[in-house]
Amino acid sequence: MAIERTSHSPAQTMAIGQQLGAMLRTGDVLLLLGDLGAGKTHLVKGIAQGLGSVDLVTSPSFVLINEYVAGAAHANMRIYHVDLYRITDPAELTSIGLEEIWNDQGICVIEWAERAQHWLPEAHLVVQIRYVDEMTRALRFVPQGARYQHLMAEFKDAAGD
Amino acid sequence: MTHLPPGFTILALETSCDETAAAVVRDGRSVLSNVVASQMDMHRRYGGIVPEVASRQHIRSLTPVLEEALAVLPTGWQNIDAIAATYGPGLSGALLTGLNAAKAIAWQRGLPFVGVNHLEAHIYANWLQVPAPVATSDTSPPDLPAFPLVALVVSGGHTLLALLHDHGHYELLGQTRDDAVGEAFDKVARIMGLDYPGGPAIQRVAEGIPRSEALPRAWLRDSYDFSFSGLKTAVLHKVREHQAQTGTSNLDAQFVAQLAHAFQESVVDVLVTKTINAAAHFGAREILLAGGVAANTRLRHELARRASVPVRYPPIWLCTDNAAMVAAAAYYRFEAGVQSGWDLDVIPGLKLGA
Repeated sequence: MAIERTSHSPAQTMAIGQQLGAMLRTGDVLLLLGDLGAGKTHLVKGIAQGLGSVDLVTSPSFVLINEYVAGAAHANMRIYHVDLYRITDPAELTSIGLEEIWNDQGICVIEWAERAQHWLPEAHLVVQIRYVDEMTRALRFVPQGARYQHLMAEFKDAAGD
Repeated sequence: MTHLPPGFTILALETSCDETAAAVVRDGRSVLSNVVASQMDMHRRYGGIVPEVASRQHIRSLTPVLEEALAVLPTGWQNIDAIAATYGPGLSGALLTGLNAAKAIAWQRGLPFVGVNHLEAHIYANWLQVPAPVATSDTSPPDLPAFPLVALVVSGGHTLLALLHDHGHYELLGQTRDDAVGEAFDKVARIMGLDYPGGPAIQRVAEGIPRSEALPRAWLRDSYDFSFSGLKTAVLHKVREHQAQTGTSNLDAQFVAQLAHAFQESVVDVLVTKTINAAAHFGAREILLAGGVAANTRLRHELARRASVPVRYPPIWLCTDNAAMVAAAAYYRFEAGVQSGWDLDVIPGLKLGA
């Protein structure tokens, strides 16, 4: 059951992320797909806010993985913000310790996840962000696995769809 | 505070990203040797740095780079008093190669060792004497940067504005909320079909363009923070619009040059305005520019033109990653009595002032 949402501004993209973030649980893996400038980092900013994090969310393109801490209501769990923009060969993923990250009791949000296809956990939530025009983005949430089906049902109810 | 003996000589290693570098610096200022093996050509075909390639290449390059750096010393290792290496921020695998090599050297030779913050090192490139001093009758050393200072550090991975009260006493005033400046240059260059690295490519095509239609500037009022992702998206939008109008995905050179100019002007305007405002507000005696993007001539000239205090920036070969700047920063750490233990680990997300 895929869910579609439309955003008309970076602020709205963040608000959608915030709503989703508040529902995330330890061990969740989100894959973000979308072109340069689609607003992936804005969505992650929202997700981190939804999890009660006060950390500054920035693009992890340079160091590949940024780490934030969720708020007390979310047990101060780790939020791993991964950016695979610079990855060309999935074999390189072993060197950056991704497996350790999703075996940890945190949340993992991966930008440019298409670079690591077939290598990521089977159960996950795909979030596609498509550029429509200057301000408009089409977001599509595709759950894989029971946990994420359930999450999407909850997300849909919360949005009043 | 320890007074280091005159002639105190540091061997430093830097492997935080895609350059394998070693340098020997005397008295924290005189660059005796500075060797940098760039992996640029290897990474250019990927449009960016590939971490695993970077780590493997560091391991290959370290020994020859180190040997070349030491070759200038008449008695080789005998001249080295201390060892330093970058321990963060950067790519963890890349950082590990240099840090472990430096620790091994220090341990085996019984020399003091200190880990250096890469961001601090970029700032300390401004303490290096350029060109290397020659014996003259004038014994007075060229002036050193005078505290308090405001430093703008701009590179592929970092964008920050810091207030330096004294050696080792820094305050982070602002940083990017999304993309680093260099990253924005790289990504925008990619959107416009220009080469990697994006900084020099954009500067080159923008040259000779007198004016262009202004792109947005993210001022983030009442903050010294920066944001460049909206600008990146604005460029993307212009490109899409142009492609729709012309009915082809090919971009003509004139369009690219205009857009590159507008992008560079927007970036430079925001960086310069925030830096001079911070310098005025905190009563800085000088402004220091540092990091790879400090090589951008438009940024240098505009900052120097608009600032009311002296602006200091290193020569281009000390703006990009190098080990001489690591040795310069290490000198003041040793002077403050700081040394690192053998258990010092890499910190990929290390912040300034941590």
